Amino acid sequence: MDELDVDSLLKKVRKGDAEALAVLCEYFYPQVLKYMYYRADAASAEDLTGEVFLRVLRHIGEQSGSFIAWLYRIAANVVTDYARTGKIRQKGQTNKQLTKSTVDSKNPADAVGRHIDIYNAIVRLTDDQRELITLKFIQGLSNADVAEITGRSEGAIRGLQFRALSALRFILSGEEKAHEH
Amino acid sequence: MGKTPEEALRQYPDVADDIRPLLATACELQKLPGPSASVSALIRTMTKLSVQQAGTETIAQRRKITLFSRPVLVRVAAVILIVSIAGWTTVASSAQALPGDLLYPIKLFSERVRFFLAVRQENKAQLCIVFAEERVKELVKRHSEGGGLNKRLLAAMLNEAKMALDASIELPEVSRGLLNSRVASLSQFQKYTLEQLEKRASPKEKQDLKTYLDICCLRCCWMQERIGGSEPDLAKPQSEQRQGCWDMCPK
Repeated sequence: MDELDVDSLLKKVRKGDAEALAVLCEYFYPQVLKYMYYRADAASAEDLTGEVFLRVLRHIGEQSGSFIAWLYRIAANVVTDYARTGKIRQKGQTNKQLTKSTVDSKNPADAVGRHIDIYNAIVRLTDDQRELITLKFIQGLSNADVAEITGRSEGAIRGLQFRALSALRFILSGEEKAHEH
Repeated sequence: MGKTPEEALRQYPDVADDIRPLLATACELQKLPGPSASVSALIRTMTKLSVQQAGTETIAQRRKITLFSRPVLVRVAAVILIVSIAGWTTVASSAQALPGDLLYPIKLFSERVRFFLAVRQENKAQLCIVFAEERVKELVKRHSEGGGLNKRLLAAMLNEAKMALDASIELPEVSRGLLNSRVASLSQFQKYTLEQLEKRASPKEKQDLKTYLDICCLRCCWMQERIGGSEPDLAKPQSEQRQGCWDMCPK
């Protein structure tokens, strides 16, 4: 998709332009869905994504600064509210949706297996680590955006990303050893 | 930042052995696929957004009305506006007009001009969706102000949706798929709105609404079935599947 003129779309959305709202939603929907899938819960990712865009529309008048950071802050708040319900599931997610995405891999079965291992490892991280891994590496956001979303300094983000990657690596090593046996 | 793993390892040779596995993990994370967005979930989200947006606009309109609490003053102001600043300002002012208002014919005329000036078929189709949504909002506003059920608006609402679907046939596959999801969302929005109106309608109005509500229900089922299945039957202009609900447009 061509690069989106987000500022222009936001102006139109604030004026009640339904078409601009649809374009904005369609463009960012896959990104937010992917965030919800890895950050929250595979089963509820679609519902949570819908809730994000409802809140975007509700509070669009208050938006300022980076839209990406604001959007992901809303997404993080939705996850927090959802976590309070105690419904976030742990290991054992179905990965049918991911399976379709890896069909082009040279060895789809291994690729899917590896993705499942990584997903289950991410689920076992602490909340902060999972948030950082999802925003920084899976969503590909910059340190500046991640800092703004999480309310931390960029220096703190760099430190946390080292610890998060180390923790993830440790968990994955354990999974690899378990598979070998 | 912005470096490849190999560049980072060359820059920090002392700790390369320690960070190599971390960089490998980071690369794997970057390549993780996302879930496929289901069309039905996207339609649900778009429908909820449409409902929320319509509700917000109705509240805003009611707040505006309180500034001119007497209808006579509103009409006098509209006439003065037309006389003093013609053309472009008149069209801008007609945007909020309802059937029966002085400026409503100008509003419809400006919509037809926009449609005529749209060169690309995709833009025409999207305009039809916008106009169909506008008819729904007018219907709700008219009814909430005690204006009763306007059958012309109901018919126009359905006809604009049909025009959007007809226009989508000639589009390339990708654009057609996207437009069809928007038409599906529009059908859901129309159905939801009519269901809400039915709750507040008089017995006579409920009888009139039933035909239109039935058509909306059929269209929603039809769109869900077509979008959930494989590709285009929607592309066949005379497909017998397109008979029925999309051709039932009361005049």
